[in-house]
Amino acid sequence: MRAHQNLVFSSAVRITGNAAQAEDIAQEVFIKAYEHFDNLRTSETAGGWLRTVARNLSLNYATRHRRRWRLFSEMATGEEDEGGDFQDGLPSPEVTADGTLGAQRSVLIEEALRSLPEHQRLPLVLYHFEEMPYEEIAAQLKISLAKVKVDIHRGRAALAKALERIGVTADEVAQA
Amino acid sequence: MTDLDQEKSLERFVDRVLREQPLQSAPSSLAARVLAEIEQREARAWWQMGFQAWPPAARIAFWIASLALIAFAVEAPEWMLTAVDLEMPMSVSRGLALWQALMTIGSSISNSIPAQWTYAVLGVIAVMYATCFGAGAAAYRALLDNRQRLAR
Repeated sequence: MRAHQNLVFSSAVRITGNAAQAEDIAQEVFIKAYEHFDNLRTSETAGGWLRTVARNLSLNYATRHRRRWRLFSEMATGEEDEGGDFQDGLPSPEVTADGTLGAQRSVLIEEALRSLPEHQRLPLVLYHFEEMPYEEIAAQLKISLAKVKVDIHRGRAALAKALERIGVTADEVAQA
Repeated sequence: MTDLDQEKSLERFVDRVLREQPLQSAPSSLAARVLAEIEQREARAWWQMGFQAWPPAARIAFWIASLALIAFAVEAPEWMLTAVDLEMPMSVSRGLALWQALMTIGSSISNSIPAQWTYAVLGVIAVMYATCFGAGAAAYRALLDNRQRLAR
């Protein structure tokens, strides 16, 4: 369990955007694994199985949550679409560019991702972290293919702006 | 650079940044929570678990009891009405007679209400529902959603 717990938790927290819910999901995943322990003990694909279960449970939660609060949460303003609240709340790059840059940078990138509106963040996570194709994302989220592509494009643009603010640029990444 | 090139370049940049992200550490309490939950589940009696986990004999008995209950519910009123004149105690037969009288009164009242009144009442209910829904949405936006954003 300890070998896979970060993998499962990461997948859940990135999809749900909620650490407490991700912990509940991770717990459920490992209980399911316990129920299938005889099959998984010798399986070389146990990690993949755990990740798939984590993804499915997280998507169940995320889509249920989306449906429930779509009307409330996605009356998005223009500012939210541009990730404005994230940029206003971040420390400047000078403050963060210190010796512990690696870990701090990762935290800031995760925060930047979490600051995106839900309808952009979720497809973006499914595409880049879970390696799901556009069509599958559209089917899972029960939205049109065109909307998935637009949301991902806008999400990338908003994320790139937020990353630029913390000093992560395309040039810097290319040089690394 | 064309729009398509820019799009591809943006995709590559975001993809690289995100894929380089390390896994997030699971809370240290996770393993203990899982073990406690497993122990708690193991300690539960069979009837406290999901239906699929019940022993086959219990599942069959449950189905038989359910079917018997449905049959009883369907047939019972007829038996009871037949029995009223024969052997039921006076209190039961009076209870049934009262029930039938109430049903008759209820039916005549509902028939005497004009259709417009019914529509008006339904309209008022719909307006009240919409008002509560709107107030809930506004409260969510004002309180909970803002709090979640601040917590991030």
